Amino acid sequence: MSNATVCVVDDEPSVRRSLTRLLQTAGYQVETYASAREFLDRAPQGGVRCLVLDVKMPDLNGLELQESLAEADRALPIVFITGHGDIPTSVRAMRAGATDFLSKPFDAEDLLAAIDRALASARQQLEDDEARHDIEERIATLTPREHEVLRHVITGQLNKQIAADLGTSEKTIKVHRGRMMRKMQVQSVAELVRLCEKLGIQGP
Amino acid sequence: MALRGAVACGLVSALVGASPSASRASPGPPEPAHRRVLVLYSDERLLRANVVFDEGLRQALVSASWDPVEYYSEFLDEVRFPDRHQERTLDFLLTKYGEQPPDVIVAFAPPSLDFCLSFHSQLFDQPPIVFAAIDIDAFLHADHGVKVTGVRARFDGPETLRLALQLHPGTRNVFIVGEAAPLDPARTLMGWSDFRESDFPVQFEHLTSKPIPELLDRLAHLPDNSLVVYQSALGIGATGSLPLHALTEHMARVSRAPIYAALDAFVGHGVVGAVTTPTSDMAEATAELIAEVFARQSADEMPPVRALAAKPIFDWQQMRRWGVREKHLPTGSIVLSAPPSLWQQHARWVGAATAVFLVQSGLILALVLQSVRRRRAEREVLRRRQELAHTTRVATMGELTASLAHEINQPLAAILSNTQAAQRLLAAGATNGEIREILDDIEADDQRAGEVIRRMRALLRKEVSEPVTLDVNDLVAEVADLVHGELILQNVSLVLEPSQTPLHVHGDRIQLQQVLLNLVMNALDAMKDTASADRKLIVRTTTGEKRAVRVSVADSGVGVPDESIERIFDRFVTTKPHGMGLGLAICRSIVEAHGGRVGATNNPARGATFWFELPILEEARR
Repeated sequence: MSNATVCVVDDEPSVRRSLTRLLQTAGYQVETYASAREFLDRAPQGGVRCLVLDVKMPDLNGLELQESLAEADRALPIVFITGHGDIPTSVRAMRAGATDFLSKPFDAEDLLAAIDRALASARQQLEDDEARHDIEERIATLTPREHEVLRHVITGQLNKQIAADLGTSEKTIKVHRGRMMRKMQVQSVAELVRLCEKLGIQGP
Repeated sequence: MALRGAVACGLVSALVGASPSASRASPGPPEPAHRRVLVLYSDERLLRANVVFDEGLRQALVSASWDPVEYYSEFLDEVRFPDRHQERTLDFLLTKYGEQPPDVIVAFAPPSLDFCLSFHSQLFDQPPIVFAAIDIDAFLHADHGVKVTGVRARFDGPETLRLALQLHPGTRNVFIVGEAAPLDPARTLMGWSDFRESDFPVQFEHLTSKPIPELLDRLAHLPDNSLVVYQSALGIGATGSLPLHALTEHMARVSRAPIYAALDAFVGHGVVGAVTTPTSDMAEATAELIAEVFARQSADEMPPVRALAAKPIFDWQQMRRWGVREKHLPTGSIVLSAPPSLWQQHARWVGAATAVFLVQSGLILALVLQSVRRRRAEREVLRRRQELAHTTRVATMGELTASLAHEINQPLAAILSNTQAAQRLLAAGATNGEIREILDDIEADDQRAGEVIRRMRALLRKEVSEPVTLDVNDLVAEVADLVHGELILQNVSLVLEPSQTPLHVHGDRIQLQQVLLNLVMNALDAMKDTASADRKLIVRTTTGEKRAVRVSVADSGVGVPDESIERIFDRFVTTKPHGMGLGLAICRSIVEAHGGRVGATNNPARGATFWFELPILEEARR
């Protein structure tokens, strides 16, 4: 857990200070930013991080930061905190993927629970990313023929059918398939299908 | 009346005019050229009764409708010249009036009548005698063989005393001053002949027969609650040198008690009052009798004696001295020597002055009432304006609810987080330093929240606050704090451009905050449709024209339609779809109540600038 970082973005210094104290007692790394702009400019990326974000801030507000991050493909789990939470704002935030929406003043337990969820999500995402990255690397080792065979295999076709589709012999397909399965480091078709689903690779 | 001169020469025509048939039927004695009336007064000339009678009789004779008479009067001064004086007087009269004997003799008071009756046979041609000022029956009933008629007066001593006791309640002692040994009680006790001391519930004491110096000394040392009754008709102790009325004047000067008498001869000479026939009444009646005597058909026929009633007569000076109030006198009383009232003297002027006074009073009253009504109305207007201002403040605060909640929740959130952090730190064995830091933060946040609530309550308060001296830059800062959350909510950037030096004004802080708050809220409204990035609010404080402080609020909103900008501060004028048109009107009334003015202009680029000016408070006046 010590590798998890909580980024607090709030224009209110006293809120930033109190949250820093609280989160540090809970064992988190804490980074604070006085504005959305500062976060965009300064925050490092990577690792297990979540955002505790004030909705209402001058200049760029919390919701706008959420959009900007999504656009920049820097999305990370967000726990919104707001001094005056109206329903339309919270709905909008949740639709855009917020983990939680807390009204100030909030209980520490609620906040910490929300942060835990957010970090779990971040961690999950990190793992997913890593896994996907691994699969992609494996796929990158495939020849174009092997890649073609893979796409047919995941649709559940037999070698004979694949050979017919690709206009080659069943034996050739069998060789490609064996090589492909080795490169992809899978033992069964089912395992291969699960990997490809993660990357969104579909049949021909 | 134009004939009068001719008639005076041709004497008959008057009588013909008066009684034409009579003069033809009985020629009678030859008619004298002029009727002559001789009045014989018993006493000396200056006695008030004599003066009054003389004037009254002359006037009555003149105003009667017959020819002019020749009028003579003589004064027997009988008291001061007793003994053989009567004969000498007769000689004097015969000598003096021998050539022009009187046609009628008026005998005033008993001594005169006595004289006339005694010497009647020697008096000229025995003219008819008309008496006056006599109430003694003995004279009237005796057959004197003389042509006598007259006016019978009434001098009511007992009634005088009764009235005196009534006017001086609490009187215990009555001191009687009278003749020691009346020569003729009928004459000397005029008015008192049927007086009985036992009829009165008071103590009587007689000062009669005292020498005059001793009498005056007694009068000067009378006990309280005393009255003096003067019973003499002739004047006691007359030595021949004192006039009849001199004694009563002396007495009154020294006396510690009021003096009453039965004769009005003494009223005006020290006596407070008497119940008696007024001399003026006698004069009138005497004149009428003389007219009847002149007009009689037969020389032997005399008109009957007239009896006149007694009336209470008072002397105003003596009344004042003894505290007798005019309103306590019986009705029909006559007050002599009373100074004419202002009204009697200057009726027209008094009337005019009174009218002017009344009109003025009415005017003043009307003005006072008007002023009272106006002040009441002004108070009412002020109260309504304050109520309206309060209502709009409450409404504005309603609009600010969201941002105010934010303003309060920020510190509350910080406090809660800090508290819970502290608990965790303590559980983990925190150091004092860490905890102290947290407590400091909590305290600061708590004060911040309290400040927000205090500002809010001040604006929501209904009662009027005292005017104070304040710097408009502080005012701007306070309002900026208040709308801080709202500006964030609406994504409006606020630029404050305060003056370099403090600008002081005198006014009601809350009301002026309301004005600025209203202008700012209006500006925010105007920027609803402005792109977020362009929403900009500039609040400036500057020195305006004519030593005024100007606070202006410029926005980048829609601006004000040109046709409305002149009237934008009028009541019920609004450019907002749901506006009441009261906010700016209240701003104007507040600013004008502070001696300032408001205004609005559209900006060259976009939006509008609303401003208000207040009189600057000079350094010396602070």
